[in-house]
Amino acid sequence: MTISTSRQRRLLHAVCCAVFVFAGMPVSAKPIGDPQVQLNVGLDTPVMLAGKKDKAYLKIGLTGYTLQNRGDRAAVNVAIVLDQSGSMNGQKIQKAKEAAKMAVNLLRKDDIVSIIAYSDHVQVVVPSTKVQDKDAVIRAIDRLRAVGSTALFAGVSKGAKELQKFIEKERVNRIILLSDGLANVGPSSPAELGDLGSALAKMGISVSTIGLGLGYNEDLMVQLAMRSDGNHAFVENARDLARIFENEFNDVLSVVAQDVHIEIRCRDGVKPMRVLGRDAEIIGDKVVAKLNQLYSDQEKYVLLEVEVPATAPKHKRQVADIHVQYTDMMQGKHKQLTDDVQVAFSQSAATVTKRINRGIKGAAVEQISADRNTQALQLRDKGKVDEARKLLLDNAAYLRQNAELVPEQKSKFKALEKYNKEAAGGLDKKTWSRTRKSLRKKTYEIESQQSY
Amino acid sequence: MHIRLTLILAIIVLLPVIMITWLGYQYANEEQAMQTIRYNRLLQQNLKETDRLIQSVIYKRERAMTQIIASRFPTPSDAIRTLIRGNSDIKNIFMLDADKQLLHPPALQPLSRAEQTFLQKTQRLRDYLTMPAKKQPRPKPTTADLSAPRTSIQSVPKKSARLLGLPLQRKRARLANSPADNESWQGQAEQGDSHLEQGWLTWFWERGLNLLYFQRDRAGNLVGIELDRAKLIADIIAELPENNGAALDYRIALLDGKDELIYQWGRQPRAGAAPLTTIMLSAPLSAWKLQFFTTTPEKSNAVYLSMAAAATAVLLLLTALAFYLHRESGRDMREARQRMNFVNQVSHELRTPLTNIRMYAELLDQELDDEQPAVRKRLNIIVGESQRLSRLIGNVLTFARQKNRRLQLHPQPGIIDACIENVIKSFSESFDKKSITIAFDGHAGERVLFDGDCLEQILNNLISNVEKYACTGRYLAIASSQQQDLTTIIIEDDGPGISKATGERIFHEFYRADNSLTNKVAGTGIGLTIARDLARKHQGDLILLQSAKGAKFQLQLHTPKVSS
Repeated sequence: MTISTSRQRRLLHAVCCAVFVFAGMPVSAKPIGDPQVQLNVGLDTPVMLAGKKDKAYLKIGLTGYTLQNRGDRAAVNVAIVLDQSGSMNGQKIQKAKEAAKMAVNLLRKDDIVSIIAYSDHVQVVVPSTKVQDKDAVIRAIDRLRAVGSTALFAGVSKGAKELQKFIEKERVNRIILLSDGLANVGPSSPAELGDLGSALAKMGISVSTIGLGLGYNEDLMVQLAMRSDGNHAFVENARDLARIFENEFNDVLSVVAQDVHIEIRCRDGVKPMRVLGRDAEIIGDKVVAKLNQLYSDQEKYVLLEVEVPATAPKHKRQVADIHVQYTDMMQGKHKQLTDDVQVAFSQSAATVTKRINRGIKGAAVEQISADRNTQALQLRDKGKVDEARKLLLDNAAYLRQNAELVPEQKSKFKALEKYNKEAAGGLDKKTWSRTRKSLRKKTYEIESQQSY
Repeated sequence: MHIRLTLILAIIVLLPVIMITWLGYQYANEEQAMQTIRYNRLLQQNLKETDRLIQSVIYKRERAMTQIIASRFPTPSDAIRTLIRGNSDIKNIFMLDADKQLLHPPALQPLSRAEQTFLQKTQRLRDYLTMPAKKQPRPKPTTADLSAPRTSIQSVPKKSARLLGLPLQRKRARLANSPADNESWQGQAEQGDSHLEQGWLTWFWERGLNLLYFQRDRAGNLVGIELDRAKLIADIIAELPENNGAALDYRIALLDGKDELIYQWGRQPRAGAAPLTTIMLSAPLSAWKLQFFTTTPEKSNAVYLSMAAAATAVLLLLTALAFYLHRESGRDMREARQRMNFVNQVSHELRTPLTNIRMYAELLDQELDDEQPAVRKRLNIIVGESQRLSRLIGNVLTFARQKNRRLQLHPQPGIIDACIENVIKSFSESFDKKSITIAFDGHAGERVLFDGDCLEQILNNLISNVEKYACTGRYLAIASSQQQDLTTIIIEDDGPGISKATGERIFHEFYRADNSLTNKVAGTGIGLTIARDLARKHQGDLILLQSAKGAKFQLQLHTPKVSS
């Protein structure tokens, strides 16, 4: 090996960059009629109070375009990983099998499916195979029995292995994990599963996690979903499994973009503070975030809190340059989107208030309320029941206030307010397990803009 | 007798069985031990196969890392970050130049939180890798600073490639021969070798074992790549077998350095069963181990069972044999006893008419006057013969009683010589006919306690022997003497005599010295036997003395004096 700087290598690197940039150029010069991913960026306060350092929320929203025909969708490579531990015995395994069978029926011949079942060991019930013979797959699912403990990590690992047999950028690669219990064989902490999730995300694999009943570890399941940019569902009753699977598969079959890289470069003294609700890297003035996929007709966004230095009125600042790269599934091409954001300053507080971008403000409120939910959960975990309840009720009040300020999102905020009040009432020992799972799910739903 | 026979048979049966059982057990134990060793070796083979599978994952990683390093240096930090974002095997990378300056993450630029944590974690590791080439002690984990990572660093010599038996590149082969110490690296670099330094560091942090791949080039630049631990474990699990259809009758489990289960496959063993065998994995994962569990019962008792079967068979065989022999001997003994009883009964039955014959013969003798000497002579013959018959029957009965241990002596006060004279008198008639002279030298005239019938029977037997077998000598000498409580009677004749060889055997039951004479003469062979038995019963003995001419017997009896 030589770490010597080869001039040739550098030249090649430059050429590649140039080609890449030029290839991405005709973003706006495409034929009309081809649906596009929409990029919407903005500040919640496009006009800020002059002469004062303040914070603002920068929202980068991406919306997947509508699929013209359902049949146009990208081919899918999915691994269904089912818990067959002893606790699944009875109705649960029954319903899980039904849900899995129903899901298989939604697939097309050129889709690829594999079924993995895990207990204290792992069984690859159906290795990765094209969905030619649905009946064979369904028969294999039927043969599942429930017995043993829970090697969740191993189940997901084997699922990933099956996916990798046919992994392609042109496919939607997904693991759907069902669990009803605590992982107790192999790496079993939320952090370890989260690490696995993030490694899988790098390969373009998302893991959607479905927690069944009241015995699973919601921290683990949410970490795995969050770090791999999958969905998470809390299914209290096994009867609802089929519906949840359907929702999940609806998402999977509606992916229009994958491998979405978002780069935000803050300018002009604006400092990035934190990203709400998502994992992102902040390196100096640069923020890098990744989304595994975009679904048709769904908006996913990154909400960045920035600190804007004190500025004189009538002055403008560049807040940030945004650069998005993604793979368009329908057209099979790499694409780019760019935009930038400015902020103006005024001495009039009324002007500031008038010019508030209510949509973005709503997103900020949502994310803040989700953050408070997480804090309340942590308080309750430490046994501080009263403080947790107070925080939830305060959150409800906060949401009610903002329901007035942001009328477009009134119904959503009212629903959230109601939810927070209910959660505040579910903090006693008997109901805490259920409330906790519900809180985790709700929080994640808000943070990741999950559709179900 | 019966009991002794039973005892002997029992010993004959039990002794070989015990021997066989003991030997068989020893053999079975050895066989068992051999089998266990062989089985364990097989299991270890199995586990070593699994180890190779895991090694193949490490090897693939190594190749991937080497390729990455080879194709990307020097690299601006942004490119490295993009690489890390897109490569699921890699968690983080650091790069140092020859002057130990941090090229990536870039020292003087803003870093992400993850990069800052990474630098903190790897501080000591980087120090260790860039230590000067003197003998430095291995860094020990600090316990003082709790916020600092609890790292323990092990440098692993690159034997991994060699273990897999894969063809080595020339460069790597050279490193495989070099020890893991820092000092040798520097030394070899100075020699101007064109080889690389590379290897794995195992590094314990947070959840457990982490792997760092490092590579140093000629110029002294050092790259360290932290592998994503979760991905590594997932890939190892993906490589290992799963439970599919074919039911295995064993289980293999992979455990980490804290003995926590990472992954397992196969059939579930009994709860709480211990592993049959365990091996540690090869470097760099040598803190991990593989365990083998079986679901079938551990010890196959086949060898023991077959040994037990053999022993039982022998036992049964010998017992059957013993029973057979016992029965047979019992039968023989029973037959013998029946015959004895028969003879006994017959003798008893004979006695009564015999007594009558004698009685009436003697009465007749008394009534006869001396006028008819021929009649008297004939009568004497009848009496003599019936006396002889009596003696014979007496012998048989004594013999029988002796056999049944029912013989009893009844000592009475009397004079020995008088008894001897009586016996001599009863033989005088027949001795006269055969022209045998009897000389009696008696010096046992004291009044002593003795059983007269017993002495009579002994003398009768001795003297009738002379009559039958030593009549050619025509001479019989009897001498008696007494000393204290012991009476000694010597009886000798002038016949053919008895050789020393047959000397002892003549006293044996039914034994008759084999010569032409005995063939012609009728005899039972029990005479001397009875005589000696009686003598011994009388606390004395009957022995054969050496004599130049004829046979010479010495009879001794215990005869306590009577104080009158």
